[in-house]
Amino acid sequence: MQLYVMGRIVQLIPVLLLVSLIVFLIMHALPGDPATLMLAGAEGGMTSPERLAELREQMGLNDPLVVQYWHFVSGAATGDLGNSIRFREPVLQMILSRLDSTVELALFGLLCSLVIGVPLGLLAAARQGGWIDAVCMSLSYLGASIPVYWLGLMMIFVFAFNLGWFPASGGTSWNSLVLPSLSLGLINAGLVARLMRSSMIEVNGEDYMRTGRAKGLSPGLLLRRHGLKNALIPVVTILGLQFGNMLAGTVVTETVFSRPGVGRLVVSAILSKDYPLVQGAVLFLATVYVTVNLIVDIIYAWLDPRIRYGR
Amino acid sequence: MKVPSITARAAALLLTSALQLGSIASAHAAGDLVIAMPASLEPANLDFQVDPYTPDILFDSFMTDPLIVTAPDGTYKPGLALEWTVAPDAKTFTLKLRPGVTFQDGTPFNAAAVKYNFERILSPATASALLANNVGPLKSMEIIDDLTIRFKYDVAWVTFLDMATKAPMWSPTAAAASTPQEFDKKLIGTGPFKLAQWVANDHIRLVKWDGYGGWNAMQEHKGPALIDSVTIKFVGEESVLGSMVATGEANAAYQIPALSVDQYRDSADFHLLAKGQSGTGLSMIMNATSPPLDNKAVRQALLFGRDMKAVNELVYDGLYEPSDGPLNNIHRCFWPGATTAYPHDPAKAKSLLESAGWKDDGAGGRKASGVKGVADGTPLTVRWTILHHQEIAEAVQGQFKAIGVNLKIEKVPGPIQLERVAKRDFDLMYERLRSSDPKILDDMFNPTYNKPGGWFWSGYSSDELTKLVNDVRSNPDNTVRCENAKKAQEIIMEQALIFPTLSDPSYVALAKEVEGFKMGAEGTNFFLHDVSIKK
Amino acid sequence: MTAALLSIRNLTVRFHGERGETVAVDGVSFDLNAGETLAIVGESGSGKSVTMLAVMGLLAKAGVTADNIFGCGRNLLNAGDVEMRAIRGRQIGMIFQDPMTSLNPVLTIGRQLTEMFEIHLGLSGAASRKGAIDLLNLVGVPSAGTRLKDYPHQFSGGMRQRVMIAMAVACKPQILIADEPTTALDVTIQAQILEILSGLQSEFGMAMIMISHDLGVVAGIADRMLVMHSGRIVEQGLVDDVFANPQMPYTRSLLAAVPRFDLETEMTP
Repeated sequence: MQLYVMGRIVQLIPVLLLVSLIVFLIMHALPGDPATLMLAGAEGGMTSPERLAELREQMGLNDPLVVQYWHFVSGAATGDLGNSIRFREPVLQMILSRLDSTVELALFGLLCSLVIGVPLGLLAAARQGGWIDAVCMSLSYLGASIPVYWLGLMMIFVFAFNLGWFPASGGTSWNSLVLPSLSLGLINAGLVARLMRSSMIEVNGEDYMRTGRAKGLSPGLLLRRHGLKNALIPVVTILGLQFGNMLAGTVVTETVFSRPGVGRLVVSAILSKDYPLVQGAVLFLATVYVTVNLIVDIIYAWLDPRIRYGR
Repeated sequence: MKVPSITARAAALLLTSALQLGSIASAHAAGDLVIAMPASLEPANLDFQVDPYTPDILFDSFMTDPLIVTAPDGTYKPGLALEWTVAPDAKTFTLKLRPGVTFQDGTPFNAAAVKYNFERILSPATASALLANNVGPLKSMEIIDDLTIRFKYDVAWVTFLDMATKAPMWSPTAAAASTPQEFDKKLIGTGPFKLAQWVANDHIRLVKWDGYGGWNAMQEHKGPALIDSVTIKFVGEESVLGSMVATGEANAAYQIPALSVDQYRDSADFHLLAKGQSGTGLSMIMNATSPPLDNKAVRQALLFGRDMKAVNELVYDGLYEPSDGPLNNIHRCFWPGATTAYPHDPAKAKSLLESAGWKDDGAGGRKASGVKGVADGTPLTVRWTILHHQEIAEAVQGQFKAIGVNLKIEKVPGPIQLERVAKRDFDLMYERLRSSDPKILDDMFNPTYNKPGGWFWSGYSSDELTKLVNDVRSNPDNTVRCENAKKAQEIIMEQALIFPTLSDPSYVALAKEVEGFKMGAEGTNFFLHDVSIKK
Repeated sequence: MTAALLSIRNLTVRFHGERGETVAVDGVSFDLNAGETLAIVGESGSGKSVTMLAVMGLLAKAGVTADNIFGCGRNLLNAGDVEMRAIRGRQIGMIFQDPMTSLNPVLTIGRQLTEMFEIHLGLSGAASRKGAIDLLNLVGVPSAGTRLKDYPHQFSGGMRQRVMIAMAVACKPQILIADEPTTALDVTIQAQILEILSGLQSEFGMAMIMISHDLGVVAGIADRMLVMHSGRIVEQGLVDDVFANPQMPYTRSLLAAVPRFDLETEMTP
């Protein structure tokens, strides 16, 4: 088990290097220059070309690409992601100060998707072919088709403005987490439900379930003790991917709900061509994502004794 | 089968506690002003000496007074400077400072402090993105006495006073103890409010400073603010912003979208304020260097096919303001002739297009026939490239159909806009500048600025126009400047280089208990010095 | 004449498939007496397993019809779910062909054993654990105490089947149904398993139904046998009788199909 984990950690390094290279190249291939963009966005009028050149020099934009990349990667290896061009603050600090808002949202969104999706899938599997099954599956397709932007706005209008149960914005209190998590969770619950359903149906047909029935186990006990643990394994394996979905979804959700998160930061950084901020943030998020997947793999190995005790 | 009573009880508990979380409306403390603003107004750095973002001027004005204040009627009033003298050649400026002023950390305000601030603005370490440019080629500063300071330039710098209304004055002690990157979290000025906390992408919190002495002509009662704190909340979604005051989540909302205005109009529970923003308005610059708009007749035809009054009614319920020329209608140097230069006349538009070689193809469009640089039979398509306000474009698209012009709408992000401009790859491009000074005409129509980072986008120049805008930039006589600005606008309109659309005013919604809120001369500015919250 | 322990009259099982109805079991009737070993023999698809699954109530009720099914003093045909669950595992135990798939891979075998005691006998904790250890000793699994924590995949095929058997006899049922218990095992292990089965049978006084297509197995362990073909019983009787004197042509061909090394016959494919 130890060896398995060590091996997986070592595998992370080439993945992250590749991510850093790709994001660096894309950012530099995109049109635009941070200094010009910054001034254009200010709509304040003409800046003298000398001033502009000075600014670019002060921002460190004139070094050759290779040098810039080397600064980025060597810094990243020691935990220094450089300074944001626009904010002039250390990138790592900027990310960390916003990270808990995003991670909170992603985790609670994941939790919501499981809390809604797993029972829905189980219900559909239990009444397979019946009208409950059809309703559950329709709900799951609905969830997958609704844009999270629209759902978020609807939730705000119903629960925040009309009913006043939850705030429409902000990222600092617990109850400001409810609506955004639900928006994200409902969308992804569909995928979880479908997977749970098919997994449960498959498990129900397994020989050991037949043995369980032959032993005289009640349906409830059979499901809870014998079926669930097996049926959840495929759901657990996609938890890592789901977390990635959540991270992606936080970009839109953070804007709709005015949450101070990393997603929003990255989007505005891309539009202002803030190289260090985009590169640093994407690398950071990639690391988080890869780590989460590693943890999920470890959980999966622990859940399934056949892998844990390996053959 | 056991009934999951635990689950049922947990669900009930959750529901009741959710219901109790209930009225968030009552959340504000009595003396706390909560202003909701669009998240797009949040700057990267709160210090306008560093950041180019104009909302910084507004935020800084709460924390420190400027040297000169622009009153709501547009005139200059004393701020930290009581008197100012401009030499006739506009190369020397003498300021007499207000006595008895201190910064929030006790440091006295005097000529040395002013000198420190200007040195800081121009210092390479600050890397000032915009304000240094507005300060310009300052040659020297002379401290005449403790409260008198003289600024000297080698060239006439006619926008000095305008700059003095925007440059924030910070405590030298505090600024020197910090780097420009960090200082914006601990700004110390002379203003009625002190910076308490800035949670990026969430809110800025300012608290009342008890030592404020009313050092601003705009304050009616002289002394500390009448409210305990101000919380500026940044809201990412404009429809949510528009409803924040109606639901009680904020007691003020700034720059709410036009479509949210209805809830607050003519209501006993709310005040609604509106103020325009001087500048170019939301305008589209025409690319006069390549077909189809390289022909003046075609450009003029588009202007004749334009009916902005109808667009305003259709899309914004008439809530936006007219902008008929290169400068919008509320600009102090607006050329009134712009309003009548191109009345809505589809027949005239059509005949102009026909005579320019764009023949009616019988199917609602037009095809080229003898148009220079265009193959015969090419359909007439005009690209409309914008960053936002797509609804205006769609309304115009409908109007253009009536004259046979196919309008193609392209919504692009900032970097793409600048890339297209650099390559002159556009027909009509969104270009907007905001300033109450006519020098923006120089920025846009002086061919000297035909370079990266410049705003000279149309590609058209003429000696006469260049001469006029040069004068607008540098003439020390303000009246003459304005006159020349109007003449320049006349030429620009005659050449049809710009397609003005509308001007978006700032709408401010206030809960009825908020009193003393004063809009500035421009919709980009307001004063909190006299705001109080009625119980 | 003592009443039969298990009595089945005219059992028919139908399955609805895409292409219409299949009759898997067609009018099967037989008895099982206390203490005896009855073998059900036939080729794959003859309906042997389906018959017993129907009796246990493990098939969807819709396809099962019969005149009556009596077992352990109760009417099994009409029994409700709760009643049937009390009978399964307690009065009638069943073991299946493939112990690897028939045991739950994510639960320890200790858990799978102790739950028999918990559900049917109301034992818990130390008592059920002890019962599990005793069972494993009984079926010949060494180091029973430590092996309770192990998972099915950590046992060899033969050991797994012993665990299956232990689970099935945990509550000392009156009837044990063994559905092809040795088919998936090596020949050498087969003998051991059969020995364990008969040992348990005499110790607990159980009646056993042995389903198999292997006549060698049948000869060694069964008292009576049924021969099934296409869902019907074509011959039944005492094992010795049937082997010595098969009445039906099918039975004869079945017996003839077994290679015999004690006769000088030519082996023709």
